Amino acid sequence: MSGYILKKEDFGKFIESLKEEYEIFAPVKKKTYFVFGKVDSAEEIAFEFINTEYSPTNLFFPKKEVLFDYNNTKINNKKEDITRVIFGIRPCDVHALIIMDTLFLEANFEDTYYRKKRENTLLISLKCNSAGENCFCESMGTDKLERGYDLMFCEQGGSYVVDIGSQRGQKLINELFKSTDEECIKELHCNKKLDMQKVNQLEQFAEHEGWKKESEACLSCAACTITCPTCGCFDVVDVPNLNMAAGKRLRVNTSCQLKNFSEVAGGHVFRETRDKRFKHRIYHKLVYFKKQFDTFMCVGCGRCITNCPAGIDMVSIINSLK
Amino acid sequence: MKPRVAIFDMTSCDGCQTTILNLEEYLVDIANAVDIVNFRLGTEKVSPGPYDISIVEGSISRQEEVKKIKWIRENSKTVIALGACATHGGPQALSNRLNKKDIHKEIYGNIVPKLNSLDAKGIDQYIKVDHYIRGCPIDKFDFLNILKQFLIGKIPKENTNPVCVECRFNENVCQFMELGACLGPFTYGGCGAICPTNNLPCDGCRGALDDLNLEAGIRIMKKKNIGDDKIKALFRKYVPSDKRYEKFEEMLKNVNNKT
Repeated sequence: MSGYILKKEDFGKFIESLKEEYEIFAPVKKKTYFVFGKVDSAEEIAFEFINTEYSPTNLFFPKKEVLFDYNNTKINNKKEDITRVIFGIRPCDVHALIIMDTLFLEANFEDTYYRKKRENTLLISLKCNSAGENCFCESMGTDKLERGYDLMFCEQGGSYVVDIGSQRGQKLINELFKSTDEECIKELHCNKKLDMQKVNQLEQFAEHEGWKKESEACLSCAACTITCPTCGCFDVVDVPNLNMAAGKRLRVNTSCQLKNFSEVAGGHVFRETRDKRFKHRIYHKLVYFKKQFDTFMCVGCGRCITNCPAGIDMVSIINSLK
Repeated sequence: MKPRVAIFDMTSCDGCQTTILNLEEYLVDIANAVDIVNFRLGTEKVSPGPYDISIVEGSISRQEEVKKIKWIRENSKTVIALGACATHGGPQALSNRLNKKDIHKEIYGNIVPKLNSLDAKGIDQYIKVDHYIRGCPIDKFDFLNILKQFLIGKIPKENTNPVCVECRFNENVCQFMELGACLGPFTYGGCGAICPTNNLPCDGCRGALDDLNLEAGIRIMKKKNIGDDKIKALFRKYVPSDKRYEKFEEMLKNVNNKT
């Protein structure tokens, strides 16, 4: 398929052309971190990132979200109608959205809040020039991206080679882009490799003593799940007004690493000990979800490793299981 | 009939009660929803018990306060501990580890009034507490939210997440990873991670979590070259009256022996 080429010097104009119709979100620098933020011009976009510390999934599945508000018997669940473009989403994070789609669009129940945001958002992916120290997308097969994007940018010298992924993406192409037969292939090589043979045998290691030992370093701070692009567990909270007639219902992200996560009425906690919670995250990502949906719930972005204050590394733990 | 709510104070700075007054735009709604029958900072009216909800600020630090808190319990359907002093002792509990005579002499000179002072402790060391509103000071919206839950007849669920949860929600740079001297992973959340979100490490004012992994935390702090004195100072500031503090010193010793 023939693609397009956009000169870097025209990138600013391209962003300006998008602004007429879309809000633009892109990686921006926040002190020592990179996060996705709303930008008004190309100058605000940080290009020097390997990947962001916090995932773009947050733009589809916010950590706190009002589901509806009510006043007496009137319920208002009007969803925001903003069309957005996310520029600079890495292929692994697009894969993460495809996994979230499996859960929130294609499984038994459709999440209309998530769907609305997915439909209103165009994804301009940016291929990686190199892998970070905690990236293991190569092992997960998420370094390459065949679908799920509207446009795919690939940096080549002073230009971007642009691949069209959808009709919506095609519509973003304007006079700044020139046709090309050039291809832009980036071969990523991750130093970190997850032993997939071990992953496929994980069930045999369910009672392994290693889980207890490794979990002794865990602070149960939940950084791993909160920054994970495929973690979508939430709690539902009602916030009434003082007059009790009006209020709102929120959903708030939560984490299997917290003791209160598996607490049921009567106060029983199913996963009380740290090692059970510690193991649960890894098994959900690599065993239970795979059984249910035939795909892993991990894209190898390495955020759970990068953001762990205790330096816990799921990959090296699994690789060393014996 | 509106629920009768009484606000009391023991040994404290009144900062948490002031925070209630800072709920300016909601004060009329609060007054419409409940009958404030005792609130030293807000009304001259003093009504005798019994009370539906008693909100108590301050630590128990004097003999007289033991009597008072027991009286409050006997005359209240629900007792809420308000702020760090009431929930677990507060900064004044730092003095629990020092000789009281020396402190009194330092402060009052040779003429020491009759103080009947005790070790400063949270009110739950003397009575059963139904709910805790944590923080130094409390978060005013946390207070409002808990009050509303009592009003609709719900027993509020305590936020047992570490501060890190809301800190990560806010997409902050992790201060614990940057500095090591942040108590976020060990401290009750619910404050919206206000300090780390404003570039200050967590001070631990909401008290030490039930589900904390102190030994692992100390190990990480030591790896970040934080000295024993600094680690002690960090944990002492707000958890001195916590029983686990004794264990904490033991842990510090253990980590030192292992490394």
